[in-house]
Amino acid sequence: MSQTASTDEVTVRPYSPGGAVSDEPSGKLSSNESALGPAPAVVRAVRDAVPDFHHYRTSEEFRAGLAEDLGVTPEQLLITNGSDESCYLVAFVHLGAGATVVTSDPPYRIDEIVSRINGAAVVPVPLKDGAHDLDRLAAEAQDAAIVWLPTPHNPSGIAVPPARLGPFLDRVPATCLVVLDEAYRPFLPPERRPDALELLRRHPNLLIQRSLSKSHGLAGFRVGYLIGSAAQIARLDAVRAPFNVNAAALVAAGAALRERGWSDYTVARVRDERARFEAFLDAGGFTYWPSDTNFVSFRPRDHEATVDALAKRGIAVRDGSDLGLDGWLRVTVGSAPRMLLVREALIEAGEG
Amino acid sequence: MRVPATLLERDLTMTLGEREIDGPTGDAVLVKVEWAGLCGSDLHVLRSGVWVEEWPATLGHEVFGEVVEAGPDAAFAVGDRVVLDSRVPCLDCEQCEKDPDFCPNITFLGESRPGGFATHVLVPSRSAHAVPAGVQGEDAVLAEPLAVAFHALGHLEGAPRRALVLGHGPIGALIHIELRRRFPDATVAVAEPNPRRAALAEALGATVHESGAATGAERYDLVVEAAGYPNALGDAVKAAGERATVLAVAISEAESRIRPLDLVEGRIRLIGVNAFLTELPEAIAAIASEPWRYRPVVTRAVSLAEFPPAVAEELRDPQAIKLLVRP
Ligand SMILES: Cc1ncc(COP(=O)(O)O)c(C=O)c1O
Ligand SMILES: [Zn+2]
Repeated sequence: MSQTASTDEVTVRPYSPGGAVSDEPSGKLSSNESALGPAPAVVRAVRDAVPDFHHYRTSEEFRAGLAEDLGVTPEQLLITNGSDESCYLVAFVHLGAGATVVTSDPPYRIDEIVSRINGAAVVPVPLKDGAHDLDRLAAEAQDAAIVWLPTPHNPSGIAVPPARLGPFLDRVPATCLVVLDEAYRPFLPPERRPDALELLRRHPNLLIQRSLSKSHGLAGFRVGYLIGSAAQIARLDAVRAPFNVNAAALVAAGAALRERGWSDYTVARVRDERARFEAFLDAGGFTYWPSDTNFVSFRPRDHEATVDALAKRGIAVRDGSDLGLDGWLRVTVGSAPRMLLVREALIEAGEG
Repeated sequence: MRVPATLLERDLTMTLGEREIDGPTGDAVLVKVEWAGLCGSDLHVLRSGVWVEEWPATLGHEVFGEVVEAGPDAAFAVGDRVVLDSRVPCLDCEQCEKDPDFCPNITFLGESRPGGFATHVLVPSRSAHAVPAGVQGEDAVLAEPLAVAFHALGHLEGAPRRALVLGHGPIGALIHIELRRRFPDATVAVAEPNPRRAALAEALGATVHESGAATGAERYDLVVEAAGYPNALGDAVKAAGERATVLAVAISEAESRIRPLDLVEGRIRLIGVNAFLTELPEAIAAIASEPWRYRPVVTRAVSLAEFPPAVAEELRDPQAIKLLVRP
């Protein structure tokens, strides 16, 4: 799977976004979006701000507020156009022909894509029961430029136990960056969230990537951020586009961070529905990975019948073949009514 | 025809069974139920047996579904998507001759006639309202309780600045959501001991108190009593400020103690609010235009077979905000 490419002959399997099978928005369970959307106060803030959008807006104010919330300095933060933009910037600055990166296999695809686009070779390390194989990742990191480490991981939904992160980072050479992608961090119970800032103090080669797409329901606005040492952040900040996060997104993100109760409720609802769905999968004897995210990847027994039964109910899920998981399906944890339809579809397909 | 239905027996046990439903004659329509909502008043019936006119009963008056058979004079065609009006006017009194919305002998779907906790329900055309294309059924089914919230807030005479909602069950939560939509600059406090229900109140931006008896020194110009615990109305009146409006919404037989002097000196308007009048079409329109506002109240959805045990759980220990069933 690994390959070396010079920048003029890059072969990348392009990213294909999750699709829909009906015009009912709640049925799109293919892209790990929030079932509840942004907080009503976010909608109001954005609507009210539209008349100001003839001005360019920098992310300085948002960055200052976020820094205070997180307990870091603004210079340790880079606000990005979706957390995916972090991947593009990090790869652009740190990779080139001849470089090597390490990902789990299957990877979260964007990290793999940006690495290849920038000419790097990708060393895939197979997941072990859905979990990152930290020993092998550390071993492969010895000559690598970057280890991409989403936790909880997509498409498995499984998180690295926080106590294992420190020892892992101790084994990665200081010359190799570790990008901890915490897009799903809010879905972890608080006691299993890594103390990311403490890790950062001890490991200047660590970058922490986060997203407001999932827990805050802002996927379409595209807002994420990167936390790192001031020196690391300065290098990335120097190459980003001047107004990389647009004004609407900045207004939305600012309001969303004030609406803590909304993201807490969003996460609580996901956890309720996920527990119901996983109990159903357990009862049906399915193979699946217990998830710490807003999606569950499982292996249906009759793939085609399952996809059809879901589609009949207006529900689109992500086919595992898009994700390096042939034969699996990844379903976003949607609203309670849609998750009932998912269970109903599985029963109809002879699965339940 | 015989259709799967929940049956509530006189001893207040609810089981899954079958019942006979006539085909539609006259202007009646047979509706295949896609979603039905459990209401606080259903729980009241399940505890007490009140209002039921014929046993076994099939409750359920929050209904979204599709017309599958239509009588010769029906106002709907097969395939139309509808929500049902929960109210059953007597159509036999003086008022009904003028406007059945105000019938004094009104009864409710599921109590005086078989309701929506079944695969099919038969109703006259006047009891059905079309749902615009593009509105999801699981959103549309909230129209009936939302009409109750609309009706309650229709009693306000001005914009409240400080509101208190006692109880964040389905009706309290929908009233809260509607308060935010109509009066975005008002502050809202909520009294709700149940953590899940309180979490939604917080998500919507409310200050949450664990008990209606301990909401602090603040006085409110609107207090909505949607909890129904013993002395809830007493707490509501105590929290009401000068010239406040107190809306009594909860269906409860628990008594409250009110000092008339508090009402008199505070010149408080205390209003009992029951169901709704003409608000159902407005509620459907509101859901059609901003369904995202209302979706967060739905916290659980079950199949018809899962419904009786889920309801039993709710009776023991209410956990859901809005529980939907898909028959
Ligand atoms: C692991 C992981 N990282 C990042 C993202 C993307 O986040 P954003 O929308 O902020 O770019 C996703 C979205 O699916 C993801 O699964
Ligand atoms: Zn009448």
